Amino acid sequence: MPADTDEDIAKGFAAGEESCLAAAYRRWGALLYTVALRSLGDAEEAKDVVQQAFIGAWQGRTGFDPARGTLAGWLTGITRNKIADALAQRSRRTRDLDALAAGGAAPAATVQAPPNAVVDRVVVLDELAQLPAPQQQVLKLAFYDDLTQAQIAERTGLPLGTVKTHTRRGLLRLRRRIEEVDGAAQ
Amino acid sequence: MQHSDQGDLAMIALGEAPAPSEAAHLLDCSRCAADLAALRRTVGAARPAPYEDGPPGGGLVQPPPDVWDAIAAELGLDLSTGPSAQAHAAGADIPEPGTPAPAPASGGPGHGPAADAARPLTPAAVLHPLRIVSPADTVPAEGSSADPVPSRLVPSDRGRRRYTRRASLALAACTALLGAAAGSGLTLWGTDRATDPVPPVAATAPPRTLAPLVPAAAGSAALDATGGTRRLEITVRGLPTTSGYFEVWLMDRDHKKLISMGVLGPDGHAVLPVPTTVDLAEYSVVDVSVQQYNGSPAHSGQSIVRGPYTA
Repeated sequence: MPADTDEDIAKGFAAGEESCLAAAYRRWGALLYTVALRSLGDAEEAKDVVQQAFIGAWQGRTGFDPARGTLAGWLTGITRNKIADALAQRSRRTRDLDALAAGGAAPAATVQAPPNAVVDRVVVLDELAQLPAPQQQVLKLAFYDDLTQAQIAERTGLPLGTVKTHTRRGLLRLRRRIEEVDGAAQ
Repeated sequence: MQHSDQGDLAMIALGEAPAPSEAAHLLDCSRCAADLAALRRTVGAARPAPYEDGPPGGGLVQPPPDVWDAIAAELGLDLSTGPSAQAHAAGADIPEPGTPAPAPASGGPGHGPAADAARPLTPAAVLHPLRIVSPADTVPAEGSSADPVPSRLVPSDRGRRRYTRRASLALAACTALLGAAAGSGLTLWGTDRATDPVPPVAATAPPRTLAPLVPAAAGSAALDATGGTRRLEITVRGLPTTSGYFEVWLMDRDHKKLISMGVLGPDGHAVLPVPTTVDLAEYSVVDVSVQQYNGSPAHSGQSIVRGPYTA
């Protein structure tokens, strides 16, 4: 999709256009729900997080400045904070239960990837899917087939220099997208 | 001091060995070391983590429809978001009397597919990852309240329309985008319109006939692997009527492992991208199911046709 479409949603969102809130939900609702679901492992909690994130974002939209970052990054940052809140609440509940159990067997801890890794992964895969086709193809061969740049050149028939350029540009775009979330979550 | 080239750092992040001079520089220069760390984090996020199975594309899960309902209710929104969303969703047969349709979706009633086909389909859109199962935009869903897409929830259950002709560019853009925005599964939908902007696939193998699993159905599938990409062309006639939608899957011979390929439109024809990373020898069977809008991304168990698709 052309980049300006996301920018249009962001501008309208900042200006308080309700249709742009709906557009933002359609555009990024699945992304944020997936982040929440993978982080929390619980559909009900994930739904709450996404609801709170969109409601909070809309009510606090004056805090969003399209000139300073993307709406996707900002929304993801808010979602990440809501996930952290949900996890904190959960551990408070667990502590309360432990206190009640008074020395009884502690419930088995669920092993979970830290939210940051989950956010990184979902965001990166989403951005990867939006890269121009040649960058996407080259990066997927590097990520999933573990091919070297020379092997990718051979496989795709592209000149080695072109493969390297696609790799560098694609990877930098993925990196920017991750860092936007970092910046927004401060 | 000469800083590391971003391209070289990208290669190192992907696992290539740094040149000795580069390695020495990275020990000394915190700025380049931080760049490399950020690139490694990016690569690490993209590569499949060991605990995850499934296709490397991962995929997004659509939130259940009540999430949007709760947001709209909490914020007291009256989202009659303008005509194009409904025009886009003309497949849903929601008439929008008296609502001006903007140019990009100017098809009259019943012309939704044609309006959609006019939307350019970018290569990036075609290559969108797997398992994005958006029920949006599919078969006639007579006022289905299980539809997670906000713009279509609204007109049927909210009497008061507040769409005014505020011709702000942003509003126009957003309303035009409501259907067309890079909304995950929506992009796949573009592939199966009758006047598909994707050139017709010259299949390398003749289509294989698929076994019907409901009485009236007849289907065929062919894989085109020319030009470094793989596309599955699938045609099914005699689709049952449903308030849900049809989904195309690749599966193994035991029908235990599944990958969602995308949505098959009510016209029964789709050309779907098949990632080059999928092992076709393993996922050798194609299946078309009828799915309900229940928020579950899993196969419904109700198949319409099924069979091997490779020559």
